[in-house]
Formats: sequence, structure tokens, C-alpha cells
Amino acid sequence: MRYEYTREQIAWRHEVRAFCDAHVTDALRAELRQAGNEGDGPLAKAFHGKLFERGWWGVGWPKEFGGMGKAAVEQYIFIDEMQMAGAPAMNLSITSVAPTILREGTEEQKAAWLPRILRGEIEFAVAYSEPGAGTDLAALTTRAELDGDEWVINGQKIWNTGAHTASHNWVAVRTEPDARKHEGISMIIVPMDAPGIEVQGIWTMSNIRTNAVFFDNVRVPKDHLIGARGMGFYYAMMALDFERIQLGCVGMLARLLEELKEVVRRTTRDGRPLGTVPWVRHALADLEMRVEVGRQVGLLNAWLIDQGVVPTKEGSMSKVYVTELNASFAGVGLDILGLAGQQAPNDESAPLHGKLQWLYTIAPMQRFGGGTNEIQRMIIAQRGLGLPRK
Amino acid sequence: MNLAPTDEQQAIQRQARRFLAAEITRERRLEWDRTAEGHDAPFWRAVAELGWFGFALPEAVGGQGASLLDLGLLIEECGRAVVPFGIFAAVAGGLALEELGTDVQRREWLPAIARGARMVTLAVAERAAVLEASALETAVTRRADTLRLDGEKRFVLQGVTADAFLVAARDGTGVSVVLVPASAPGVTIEPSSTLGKDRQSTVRLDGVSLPAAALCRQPGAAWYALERLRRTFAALLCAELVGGADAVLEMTVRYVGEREQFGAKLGTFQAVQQMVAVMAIELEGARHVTRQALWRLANDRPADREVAIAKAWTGRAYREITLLAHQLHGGAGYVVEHELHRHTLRAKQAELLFGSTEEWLEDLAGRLRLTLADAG
Repeated sequence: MRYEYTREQIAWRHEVRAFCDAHVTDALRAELRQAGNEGDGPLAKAFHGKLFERGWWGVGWPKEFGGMGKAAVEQYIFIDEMQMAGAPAMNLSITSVAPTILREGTEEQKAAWLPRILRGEIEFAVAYSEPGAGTDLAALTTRAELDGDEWVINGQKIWNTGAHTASHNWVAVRTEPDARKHEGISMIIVPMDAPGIEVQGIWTMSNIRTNAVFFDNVRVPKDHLIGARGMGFYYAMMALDFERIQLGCVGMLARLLEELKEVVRRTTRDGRPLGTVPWVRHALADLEMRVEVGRQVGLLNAWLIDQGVVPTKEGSMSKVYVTELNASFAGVGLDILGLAGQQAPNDESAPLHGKLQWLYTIAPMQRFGGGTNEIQRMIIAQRGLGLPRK
Repeated sequence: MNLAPTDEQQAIQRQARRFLAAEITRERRLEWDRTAEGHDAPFWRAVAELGWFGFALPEAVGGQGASLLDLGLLIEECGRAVVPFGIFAAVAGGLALEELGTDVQRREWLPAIARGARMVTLAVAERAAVLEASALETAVTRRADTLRLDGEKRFVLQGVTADAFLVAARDGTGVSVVLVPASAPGVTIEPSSTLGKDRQSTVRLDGVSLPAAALCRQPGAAWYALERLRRTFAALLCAELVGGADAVLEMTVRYVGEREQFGAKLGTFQAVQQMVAVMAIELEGARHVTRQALWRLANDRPADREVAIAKAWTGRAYREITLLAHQLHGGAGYVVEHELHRHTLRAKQAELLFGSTEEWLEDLAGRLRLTLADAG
């Protein structure tokens, strides 16, 4: 046992940190804040370009596809440092779509899509949910029918975030209407400029735009179906397993906690330093502890992946733990800020630039999104601990 | 990073688990509940023969020289089987004497402690003093070659069977530790009933007179060493709690997989699955913050922050896991014939030992440099 990074891992962390020190500028962080922390402004794009130049776009990808072939723990370190620095997040093309193409695509598909993703030439939105298929994803009804060499797609997707800016959509469609509900779904890549697509904006509580997307006889080439027909539901679930390395990182919370402590050190309220108020001290220590526990659970998940295990249980644990922590962190953090906690992110004098408010508004979505936490706990209970289903 | 126990560490746990499963039957445990010692002599001897009392003591005194991490892994198994808490007290007492004892005291006591033939235990807490040296009322006065001790120590672990006490006492402006034989005139030992049903006692010292050689190392300046020991014991106790929580989760999973109501296994109900998953998450966090703290202690890394986190999280987690387990076991887990109640009682008690959850959180807060005073 060794509860410490190896020398190589520490060197890697320093390398990532030095890169962030040089390239995550105040101006970049300001741009991110203005974009509601969705990184698609010019500075964020330039930053992603620098990552690409270094070959850090696909840290976890195999070397033959231009990645670094880093293990999951190294990926964790990378994301953790990026979050600590306040860098823009990696997009879903890299964390979710590309790994699935890598694992399940044909050689032709890998060659056709991966280099372009890696170069940042194409960017994906992910279209899973439908009005009638949310947590019960396998109930989806958007269908694709083969007509000669083309798939013809009809139906509606929702919560298709990024569909208005992405070049392509990663769409879960029903291709086998006669198969059982989990076994009739496939993943198809749809270029967003294909005729018959209509995108309608939906604005959310956290000021992030998402979309409803309508498909009316949208035609895409047959080879845009990735992997095997009827396996799409399982690919979507596996992609979530990858995402959980990222989701399990507590770098962002660690950064917010440092900033919150700094506010407490500088604040006098009602004639006494805020850092001497017992409940404030208790609340901050409690957050410090819970962030450390989150780090351990996230690292356990990453480490198990490196042992060749598919850590379904631990991935779900990490997802539940960190998203629940995000919600309570934001709530308690705002309590500590007191009346100043109300100041909106666009108020120049808002403490922590309003980031706790932002976290407070995205935290509910994190709890129900990406597989609700209730579903995750059922996965832990059934698949992890072997509780009976029937 | 490597989160897997080595083959050797796995063997330690496997052997301990097998031994305890064979030794500790429900009937035997119910008998132990009725004894003054909390165990029986054959069990204590069997544990001694395995070398557990000297497991982490130096080989030179007959110990096995195991690291604190390996000791922690052994203690996880003790927690899983809810072994009589006297085992933990005896192991801790040995480590305390190793740390505090003079060369002469260590030569005289440690080999017998390692063999399980004798036992010492720490006596620090008092009615009005737990974590603060200046609050101690028990005092030692030195005159020529003689020490005199007066005071009252409370919550002395396994005090009822101890051969000697490591007594923390005010010594002028500082704190000294004195090795006080249980048989010394003026020593009175009274058992105290506790929530966890272990065998703590109150030790009264009325004009106890001892030779100067009873004084331990660093006379007048022993508080720092005592605090470091409290940190070590808190981390080791966490290991016991992790093992206990693991056992509680295991028995709960088994129970809800068997028990039927409304024509279905309890484990098929979503409300039940949610609760069991919460238990599993809390446990996994506890396991790794605890092992991290012990790893750091064993490898001489700074560990103050990690121990504070481990004790605060693990104490709370074990308590919550036992309470959820009660909700899922219903009446079946509420009776003394069921092992669950031992975990439940020990869990809440353990939250109070070696610094409570809230005290460790305040300790942690003090490390966050929130005020000028903390920074100093």
C-alpha cells in the first residue's frame, strides 16, 4: 500500500501545474465566469489549442491516436490540477464520445473521427434524453431506419447542451424496433448541418443554455453508426464510467475552499474576525474533511480502472459523493458569506466572483443528471453489493 | 499510489479473521458480558500466543516490529469481530510504554507486555480535564528519591485488569507521566459502566508513594508525547471502526437479501437499496482516509491533518452505519443475541474516545489558518 503519489506522478502534477500557472490567466477565468463557466469563448478555445499543441488534448487516449496513453490516476491528477487552476473543462467530445469510438468503432471509424476530434476540428454535443426518456433512457423513441446506404432519423431530443454550437451530435436512436428496450438502441453521429434538424434554445436556472432538437427525416451515411447495432444503451453507460474519473475530481472544490478560507481570513463581521466564529470554523473544517474523503473515493475509482477493473460500484459512489458534496458545499459556503452571498456573479464585488452561487445553481442538475443519484445508489446496491432485483 | 494491501498484509487479515471467527462464538461472548474482565483467560492467552500484544513493539523486546499500518490492518479485523476492547487497550498501553518509558522501565515491562503476561494502560483523562494539560488536577510531587501522587483518573481503558497505569500528572508547571503499579498502596480501582460495555475504570491515587524510578521520560515535558500518542491511538481506533462498519454492512446486506415482507425480499425495495448504498459510500470513504492516516504515520509523513479527518469522518460514519443497520434489521437486530448492538454501542462510544468528532473538527479548523491565533 502507498497512500501517496509516486515520484513520476508528482512530477506529472508539477508539469500540469506549471502549465496552468502559465496559461490559465485572470482574463481566461473572467471569460469563463461570464460564460457561466461553460468554456467556449475565444480565450477558452485558445487554451484548448495550447493543450492540443502539447499533446494534452487526449491525455488518456492511446498513443497511436495521438494521445498520451496516461493511466486513470494520471488523468485524475491532470483534471484535478486543471480544476484547481480554474481552467476550462474538457468537453464531452474528449471525455465521452472519443473513448467510445476508440473502444467500439471499426478501424475505418477510428481513422475517420479520432484525428479530427483530437485536432479540435469537430466538436460533439450529446443527445440522449427525450421528453419521455430521462432517467429511463432505454425508453427513448427517436428512431433511425435504414434506407439504402443512409439512416433516416426522426424524433426529438432534449437537454442537448451545446447542440447550437457543436459541429456534430452524438445521438442515441432506436434502430431495432423489435428488440427488447435496452437492446434496440444504437449510437449515430449526426452532422449538425444536415437538413431536417431544428434546434430550439432552453435557458436553465444556472444561465446555461441547453436545447431541444428535432429530427425530421435527417439522413446520415450508414457508417455513421458507431460500433454494433443495438449496443448503444451499453455504450452510453460505459461512457458515463469514463466521465466519472472527471466527475470524481475535487480540484474545483479544493480551489473554492481555499478562496472561501481567504475570504474568512479577511472578513470582520459584527466586530469580530469571521475566523473566530465557532460555527464558521466548524463548517470549514467539515468541508475540508469532506473534500478529502471525496478525493479518496475518486482516486480509488481511478486506481481500480488502472488495475483493469471496471469500477461500476466505485464510479457510482464517486458520482453520488461528489455531487452531493457540491450541493452542500455551495449551501454552507453561502451561509458563511452571509448577506454578501446574495451578490450575483455579475456584481464586481461579489465574494469568490459569485462562484458559490453558480455552484448552488448547477448542483441540483448534477444530482439528477448523468444518471440520478438514486439510480446510482441502486447500482451500488444491486451491482456492487448484490442486493436482489426481484 | 497503490491502494491494495500486500500479500503479507492480506495474510495478516486473513489469519486474524479465521482465528477470531473460530474463537468468538455468540455464547462465549454472552458469557464474557458477565465477567469482570470482559473476556476469559484462555482467549487472552490465545491472542497472546499469536503475538498480537507485541505486534508493533520492537523485536528486541520480543515484539514483531510491525508498522502502525500493519497493526491497523490487524485491528480492522478486531473491529470486524467486535473483540473485547481490552485487546485495543493492551496494545495501546504497550505502545505508550514504548514511547514514554525509561530504558529501565521498557526493559522491565515490554517483554512481559509483548507476551501478554502483563498489561499497562494509559490514565490521562479526569473529571475536568480531557485535552488540556493545564486542567489536570492529579499532581506528582518529588522529594529526594520519592514521588507522591494524588488525584483521580477516569475512563481508564481496561483499568480493571491492568498491572500498571501510565498516569499523566501535573509536575510543577509541566506534565509528567508516572508508571504506577496497580498494587501500590493508595491506588483504588473502581469499575465504571460504559455505553460500549467495555471495562473502563476510575483510578484514585491517594498519597501514592513511589521511587523516583517510576517517573517516565521527559519529566515535566511529557504532554507533547501524550498528544502524539492520542493521535496515534485515534488513527488505530479508526481502523477498528472501519472493520466494524464493514461487518455491519455485510450483515445488513445478508439480512435484507433473506428477509421477506409483502411477499418480496427487503433488498428489492428501493428505499432499502438507497440506505444500503449510503452505508457503502460512507464506509469506503472511512476505509481510505483511515488507511491514509495510518500509512502516513507509519512512513513518518506529517499526518496531523489526515488523522483529524480520519477520526472525525470514521467515527461519524460508523455511528451512522450502525443506525441505518438498525432501521433495516428492525426487531431482529435490536436484541442482545444479535451482534449488531455491540457495534452500535461501541460506535457511539468510540466517537467520544481520543477526541470526539467535534473536537477533531475544531483541531482541523485550527490547521486551516483562519485567524492570526491559528497561524501561530
